[in-house]
Amino acid sequence: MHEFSLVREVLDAVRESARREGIRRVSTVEMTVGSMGCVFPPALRQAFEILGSEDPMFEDATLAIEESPVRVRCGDCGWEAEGADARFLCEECGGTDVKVISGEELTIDSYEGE
Amino acid sequence: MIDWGGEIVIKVRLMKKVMENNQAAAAINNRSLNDAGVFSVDMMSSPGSGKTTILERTLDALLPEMKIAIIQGDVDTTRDAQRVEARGAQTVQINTGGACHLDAPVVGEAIDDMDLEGVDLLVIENVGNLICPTGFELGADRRIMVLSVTEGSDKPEKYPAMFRSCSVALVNKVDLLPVLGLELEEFTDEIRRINPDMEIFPVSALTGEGMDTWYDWLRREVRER
Ligand SMILES: Nc1nc2c(ncn2[C@@H]2O[C@H](COP(=O)(O)OP(=O)(O)O)[C@@H](O)[C@H]2O)c(=O)[nH]1
Ligand SMILES: [Mg+2]
Ligand SMILES: [Zn+2]
Ligand SMILES: [Zn+2]
Repeated sequence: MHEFSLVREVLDAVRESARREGIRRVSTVEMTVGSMGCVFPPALRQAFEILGSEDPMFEDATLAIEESPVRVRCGDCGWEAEGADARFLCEECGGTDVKVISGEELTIDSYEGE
Repeated sequence: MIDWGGEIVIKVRLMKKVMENNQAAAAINNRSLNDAGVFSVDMMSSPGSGKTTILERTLDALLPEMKIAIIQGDVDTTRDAQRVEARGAQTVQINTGGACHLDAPVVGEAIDDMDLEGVDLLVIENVGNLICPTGFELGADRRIMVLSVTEGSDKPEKYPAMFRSCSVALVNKVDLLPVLGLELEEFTDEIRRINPDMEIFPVSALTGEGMDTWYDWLRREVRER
């Protein structure tokens, strides 16, 4: 369950920033999680709940996750596809220069607190 | 800013990538290994696809001509470490304690524990898992994966991130293809559909079939380091 170590990293980063901003209690943390990454949102939420409850700053905090589907684009002709339609062989020109343009994210976008 | 129950609620935009710590540690690992003149690979696969067996054979073939070190992170207690250590390779066992992947800081500690003097090749056997290790770079020069034919040819489609993150794939247990009634092309086609640039070596770690091509690849990479 690597989600625990990831959440620890998230809490550390938010804590550090919150101290700088003079925020004592965090109410929401917003993250983007790509579906091609190795992170499972329910496990992330669960780890957040457990680890958050150990720290007064995050006691009442909720984790909002924006899931980002895989999106690919062909470098030769510009063909794009998303989710289950994503292929690494271009359906338009047959080219193989197909790159992932989104779906690999794992970011803390923002947080709110007082 | 909005007023919320008398207190001021502030929204802070962070836009911070998670796993930066791991990335930073991976970069340090790669630098230490490069400075020591070591060529390194991170070996990933499902459990039981044959990583340790491939390692054993590889050690038998290459130890007479090069110095090889192993970082053993596969979960299966210390049995894998004993199997490779018995061959005479310097081996550091990482106790993952049931973790689903290795990460760069842990590998960094193992590297610090090693004597890299004169080592040509370092192989890191990652935890058997097709999902987790993908996101955690260890700092090895190359990420390679083992796909055994008993796992079925739908693995690349199901775990594209892993297959995209590797540049070499060993398709192992080809001795079982006739038993399974499968063709090698099913596997190579599926892999190339997900990663057209993948270098593919069909092998049997059991019979030794195809292993020479893999050894030659290692020899070349070590030489060019
Ligand atoms: N038939 C066959 N069995 C193999 C081959 N390579 C490994 N095995 C068997 O597969 C099982 C798992 O191998 P192991 O090396 O421990 O896999 P690991 O979990 O990836 O390290 C063992 O019983 C091996 O003997 C092969 O090429 N052909
Ligand atoms: Mg093993
Ligand atoms: Zn195209
Ligand atoms: Zn993991």
